[in-house]
Amino acid sequence: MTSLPPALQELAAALGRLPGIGRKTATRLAFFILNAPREEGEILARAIMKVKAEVKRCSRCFNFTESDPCHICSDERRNHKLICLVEDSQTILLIEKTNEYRGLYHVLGGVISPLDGIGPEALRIKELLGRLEGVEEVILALTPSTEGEATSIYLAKLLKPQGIRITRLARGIPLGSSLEFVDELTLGKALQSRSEMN
Amino acid sequence: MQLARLSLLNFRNYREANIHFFDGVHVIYGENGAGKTTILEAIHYLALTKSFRTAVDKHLIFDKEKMFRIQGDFTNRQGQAIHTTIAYSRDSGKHLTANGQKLQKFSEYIGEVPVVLLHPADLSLSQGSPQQRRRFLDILLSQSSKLYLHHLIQYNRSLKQRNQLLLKSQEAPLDPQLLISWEENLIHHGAEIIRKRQESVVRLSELVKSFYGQLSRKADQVKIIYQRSVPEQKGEDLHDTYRRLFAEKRSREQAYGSTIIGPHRDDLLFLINGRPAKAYASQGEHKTFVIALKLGEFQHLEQQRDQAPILLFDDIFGELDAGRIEEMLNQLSDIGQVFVTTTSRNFFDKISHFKHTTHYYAVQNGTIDYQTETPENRGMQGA
Repeated sequence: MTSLPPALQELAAALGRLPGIGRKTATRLAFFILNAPREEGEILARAIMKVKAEVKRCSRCFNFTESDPCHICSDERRNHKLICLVEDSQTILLIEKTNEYRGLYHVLGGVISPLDGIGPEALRIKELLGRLEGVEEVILALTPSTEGEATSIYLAKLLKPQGIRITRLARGIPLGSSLEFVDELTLGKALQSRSEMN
Repeated sequence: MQLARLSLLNFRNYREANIHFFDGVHVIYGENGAGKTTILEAIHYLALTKSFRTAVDKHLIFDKEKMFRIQGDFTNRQGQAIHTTIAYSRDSGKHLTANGQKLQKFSEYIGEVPVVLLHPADLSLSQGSPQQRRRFLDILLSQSSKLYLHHLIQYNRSLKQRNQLLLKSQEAPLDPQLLISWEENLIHHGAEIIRKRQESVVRLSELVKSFYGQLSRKADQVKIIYQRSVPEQKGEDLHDTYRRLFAEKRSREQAYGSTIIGPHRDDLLFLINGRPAKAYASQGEHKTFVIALKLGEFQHLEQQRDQAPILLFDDIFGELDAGRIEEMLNQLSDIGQVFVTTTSRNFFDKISHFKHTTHYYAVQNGTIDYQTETPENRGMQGA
């Protein structure tokens, strides 16, 4: 195992940088790719090149998209007076799957965390303030961590004076819990019962 | 709560072990360093996902192995089985599985297997630092309420974040709204912690008072008072008091670079006949107080969880005489399971008026990967 060909080592090292992939899994994947037919490797390589070349961020909501504005921002049937604020693009996917929401989104790009050196200036808050014209309600849908909470409180204090209704996802119990702590709240339910923030 | 089987793999000095337990008292004896406390440590780890001897999990791994694993088969009072596995590896950290379900958040699990530990360090509870007493209370309440543990975790995280902001504000001016956002977080979680502590300490105080009286056989009046840095104000909501204190202390806190009000600064005051135990109690009274406190913890948890906690007594016989231990155990009407470690088995033989069945386990460390297991049911009923 110590003397893998350098090219294979390089591939394993690159795969090992992916989230959730340890050294062993990376090596296994590298061997799999090496053993697979040539086309398989090319499909993977092309897909990676293509995603990097063609997918960009929407200039309005900052979701990933191939067209700008994205299909959500340019959908006239959606409610443009309603913006759902999310931490990252994956959350949009989750919310879309609930089929409970027909407004727009804004991807904040993280949450405030002094310990990680992330302050309000590192997030897309200015961009949010720039698109509030005609918006009646902003839903805060950040993760229910302490950082998400503090960010929500910060934003609520910032947006309230603008006369916009600020709501957030129902605070029940953290999603995906089990045993007695739990209450099987789905994201869709949380959206339905969002509450006013003071 | 009953532990029927404990399996260890590469845990401390156990290469591999598979031990069966029963109802009643388990005496684990052997020489120093043989691995007696390790058994208690493993049970504690299964209950709280933490050791009481070290905060560094990799120190628990046998020699140069890559991982350790602890498994326990528990049955609760309602007859439900709880199979818990905790594995820790140097590469991928800690993994907890309960009844085949992998749990991402350990806080969902803590409290399912309640334990009460009494070890030599506890004997300074009534004399030691406020931190030690807060820890005692937090472990008790975290096991009795998952919501408490949730608030505690969130509170501690928010505290770190706010302290970081306070430190930074010493270098450059800070957006005050940012600080307030974290304060609102601390108030939300802190108020829940304070309320729960207040309510529980009242109940704990009553339990400890009664146990202390029985143990000391004197009419001493014992009381526990929860001392809070955010006090109760008549006619003012706790959140408002908290907010007002933050506003008052903010500039001082910025100068300190840390948060000085909140439940992380609170303490428990132990009173014997109206006088603080810390200043006035004799060594004997301190010991009696700590035992009464532990019995109170047991009873409180038992009521909260409808489950007799597993009792772990680690090497306390040097500190306490046999009569006191016997009395302590006999105090507990529904004792469930007890595990005690001792260097001398004879010590336990002296306890003659013991109501509970006793099982003996010899621990030897002569061979690294082998553990002798000699359950002898001595059935010391009546006498």
